[in-house]
Amino acid sequence: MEKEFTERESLAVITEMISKSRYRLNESAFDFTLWGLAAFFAVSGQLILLQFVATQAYSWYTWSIMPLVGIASGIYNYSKGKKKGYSSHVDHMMGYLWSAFIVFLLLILINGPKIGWNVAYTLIIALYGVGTFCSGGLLKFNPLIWGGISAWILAFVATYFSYKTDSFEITLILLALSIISSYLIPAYFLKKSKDHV
Amino acid sequence: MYKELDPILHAQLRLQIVSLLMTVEEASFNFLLEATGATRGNLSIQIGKLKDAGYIKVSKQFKDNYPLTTCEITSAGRKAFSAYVEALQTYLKPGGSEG
Repeated sequence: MEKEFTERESLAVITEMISKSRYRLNESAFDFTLWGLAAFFAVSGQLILLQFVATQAYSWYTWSIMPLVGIASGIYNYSKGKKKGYSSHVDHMMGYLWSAFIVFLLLILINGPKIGWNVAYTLIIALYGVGTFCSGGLLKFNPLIWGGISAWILAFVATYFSYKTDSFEITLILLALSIISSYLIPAYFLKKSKDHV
Repeated sequence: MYKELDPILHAQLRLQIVSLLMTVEEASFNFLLEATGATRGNLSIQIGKLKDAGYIKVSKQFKDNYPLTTCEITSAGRKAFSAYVEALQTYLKPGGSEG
C-alpha cells in the first residue's frame, strides 16, 4: 500500500533515512586501539629484549603477535559488518587505504635486511603517519590528522638520529612515541566522539 | 515554477529505501526492513518496483547457509534521486505551496 505524503514530509523522510546510515566515528576506535596497543607492546618488547636479552637478529620476534591481531581484527570487523547490515562508503575507502598500507609495510619489511632496519623502521613511522593522516581526512577527524603529522615529524627526527648516531634503540623509542601519538591518543578521542561523517 | 516529482520516488517507502541506499555502498534486506519499519511483504514489493525502474540493483546470494539479499543504488537511481531533490526544492522555497 502506497502512502500519500507532502513535499515537506518527503524531505523529512530523506533526512531521517540519511541519518540512520551515517558512519559513526567511534566505530573506528576499536581498530586503532587494537593495532596501536599491539604495535606498542611489540616495539616495547623489542626494545627490552634488545637492551637485556637478545641481539638485533632475534629481538624482532615480538612482532610475531601482529598476524594474530590481524585475525582478531578480521573476525571483529566481519561480525560487525554482518550485524550492521550495510557497508558504507567510508568502510569501502578505509578498506582501500589500509590494504595499500599493508602492501607498503610488507615491501618495507622485505627490503629491511637490504636497506637496514634503522631506515626500514623510520619508513614505518612515516607509513603510520600516512595511514592515520589519510584516515583523519576521510573521517574529517582532526586528532587523527594531527597524529599523522606527529608521526611524520618523528620520522624526520629518526632520520636525523640515524645519520647522527645510527642508534637503533633511538629509532625504536621514536617508533613507540609515534604509535602513541598517531594511534592511541586519536583512538581515545575517537571512542569518546559522538560525531558522524 | 514547480518541477514534476518522480512518481516512482514520491512514495514514502520507496523514498526511504532510495535515501538509505544513497548513503551506503550496499545494504541487506534485513537492514532496510529494520531502518524503514516496513513489513517484509511491502518492502519486497517496493524493492521490486525500484528494481524494475532501474533505480536499484538487487543481488541474492548465500552467506553462512542463509539467503542474503542485498540492494545497491544504480547510477540511474542516483540521477533520479538528485532530480527528485532538486524538484522538491521548488515546492519548499519560501512562498511555494505544498500538495
